[in-house]
Amino acid sequence: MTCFIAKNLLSEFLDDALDPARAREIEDHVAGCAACSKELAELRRVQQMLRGLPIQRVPADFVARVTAKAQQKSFFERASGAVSVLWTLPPPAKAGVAFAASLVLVITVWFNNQEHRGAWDLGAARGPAVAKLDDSPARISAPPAEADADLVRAEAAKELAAANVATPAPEIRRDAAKDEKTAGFATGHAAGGGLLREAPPPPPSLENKEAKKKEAESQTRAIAAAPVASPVASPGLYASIPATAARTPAPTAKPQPIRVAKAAEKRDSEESLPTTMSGAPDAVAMTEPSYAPADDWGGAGVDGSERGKADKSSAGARKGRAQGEIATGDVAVSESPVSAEGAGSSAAPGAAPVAQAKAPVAAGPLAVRYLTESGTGPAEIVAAARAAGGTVVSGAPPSLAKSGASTVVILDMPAGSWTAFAEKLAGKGDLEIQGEAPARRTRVRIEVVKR
Amino acid sequence: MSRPDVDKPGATPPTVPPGIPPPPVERVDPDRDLIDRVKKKQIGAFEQLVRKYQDRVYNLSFRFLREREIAEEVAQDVFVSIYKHIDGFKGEAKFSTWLFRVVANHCHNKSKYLRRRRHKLQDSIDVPIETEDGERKRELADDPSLSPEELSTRRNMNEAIQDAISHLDEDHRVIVLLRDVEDLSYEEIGEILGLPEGTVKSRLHRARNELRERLSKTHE
Repeated sequence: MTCFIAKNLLSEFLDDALDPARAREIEDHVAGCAACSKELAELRRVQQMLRGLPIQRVPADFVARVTAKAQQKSFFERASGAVSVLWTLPPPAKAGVAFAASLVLVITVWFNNQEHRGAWDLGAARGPAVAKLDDSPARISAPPAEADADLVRAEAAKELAAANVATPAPEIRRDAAKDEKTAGFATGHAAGGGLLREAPPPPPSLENKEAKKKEAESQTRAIAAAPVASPVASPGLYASIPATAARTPAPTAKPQPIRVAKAAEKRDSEESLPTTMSGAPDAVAMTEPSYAPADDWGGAGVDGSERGKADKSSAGARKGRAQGEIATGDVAVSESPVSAEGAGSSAAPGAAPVAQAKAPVAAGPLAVRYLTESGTGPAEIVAAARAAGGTVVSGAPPSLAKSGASTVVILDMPAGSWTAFAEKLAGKGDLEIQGEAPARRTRVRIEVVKR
Repeated sequence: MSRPDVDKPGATPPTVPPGIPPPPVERVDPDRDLIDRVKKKQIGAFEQLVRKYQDRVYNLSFRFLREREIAEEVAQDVFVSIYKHIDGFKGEAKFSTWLFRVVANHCHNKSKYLRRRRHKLQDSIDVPIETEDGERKRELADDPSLSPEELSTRRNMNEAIQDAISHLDEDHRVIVLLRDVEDLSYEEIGEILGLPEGTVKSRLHRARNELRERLSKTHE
């Protein structure tokens, strides 16, 4: 036997696993081979060491722990146990359980859908308003500045609810579409906010000044009855519109800068009023402190059909107006803190920036009236406000101002400017202020009454 | 088909014609009754079964994994698994064979899990362990006849062999432990590991040689 064979069999030799003849051969070889003998001795020692290892014993509470653990049921065992119980039920009971499970499932899905549908309903409620805004370029223009977005959103929620309750938007949209041919003078309820657009009054007739004056006065009364907080509502509405949607002009819009510029020039030349007076006192302007498009409220000298065309114009027309008004120096566009950004963002590339967004404004609690005998009361208010550091959000329609009817001017007055404002008007008319002058910048509506 | 009643008193044993090999002797599992009772979920029978095998299971786990807490955890899992899957035991092999197969599988799985967790298994058997009852000595085979020097030598030897076992490949380790620690036969080891007897022999041979070489280097 060779060492190679012997070494391969040493392990079995140790275990007495070889047949006696083979075992004798190994014994004979090991007796004469020192290397194999040494290896066998070492293997025997290893085996002795392994067998000499002490037995490790478990702790005394091992059995108790094992039995407790063995009797525990896992979650899956419990679940499968419950399911297996169901299978043992009689068929009617099975059907009942299945029906109950289906009912739970249906109710869960229904509730889940309700939650989502609530969100969609809200969107649907705003949908017409947004669509309406798309119809009117002036309404799209003004996403509020980042700084006052929260303030505006909070106030807009209230205004939006009031607007949606006041009048169903689709009907209003139909009215607006119907009036496209003749309407240029768009006005709305103060309570209804900028969402609403009523049928325009007939074009002013020079032969019937009395009728026109009456009509204007009735409009003014309606405006004066509106809550003071309404001017800041619309920015909130705009805030509720996604910024991209608000800033993206309607694809069908076509800029009409030339026509609008001409209209503005015509208005300026005919009215000889400061350009700041071009702001609209109507509900549209009041509820939207964005720039008040001249052709929206009927700029002087622009006839009804022209205004109607202007009404139909969309974002592009807005852009055109912005450009035209900038060219003619219409400050009413740029001085509105909200409209400034909107006009800038909605203007075509390359258009001159209109104005920087200003600090947030708050709705003023004041009720202010300016009683004057002159026919240019709004102009006096505007001049005094600007001299006192305020800005004009919207002025009186020149047509109304010219007619001598009571009008409304909306101003944005910083804190501490009221004294100077009153001083500028001293000797011209009577300024009646009900309430305390606010300690912060405030937007206020001033009713100008011709005595 | 009924078998002849050989156990009936007075019955004559059947004569076997010369030249015909005797029928294979049916192995009787000593744990058969206990297993039957455990199958009926008798917790007392299960406790008896645990008490009977707990030290062997724990000892094998400890030698394989070389960490006391982990070995105890494995031993618990083994018995719990046995209890929950006792219906899967058909009695075709001895219960101990089935049990050690479960132990080997659990040890392999735990070792793989710990390797993945980069857990280094080392637990000196010289260091006493703390239990709720206070310090507990290792169950070393302290022979009272041994002198302190001999006792120390014995402990060093145990440490060395345990260290050498831990360095073995897992396939070799389990075979060495089953053969030289649990004193199982090649056939039983083959049944436990699902290996042919020749493979068991060759692996055992390689494992012992590896241990021999490692211990020789240690002594040098």
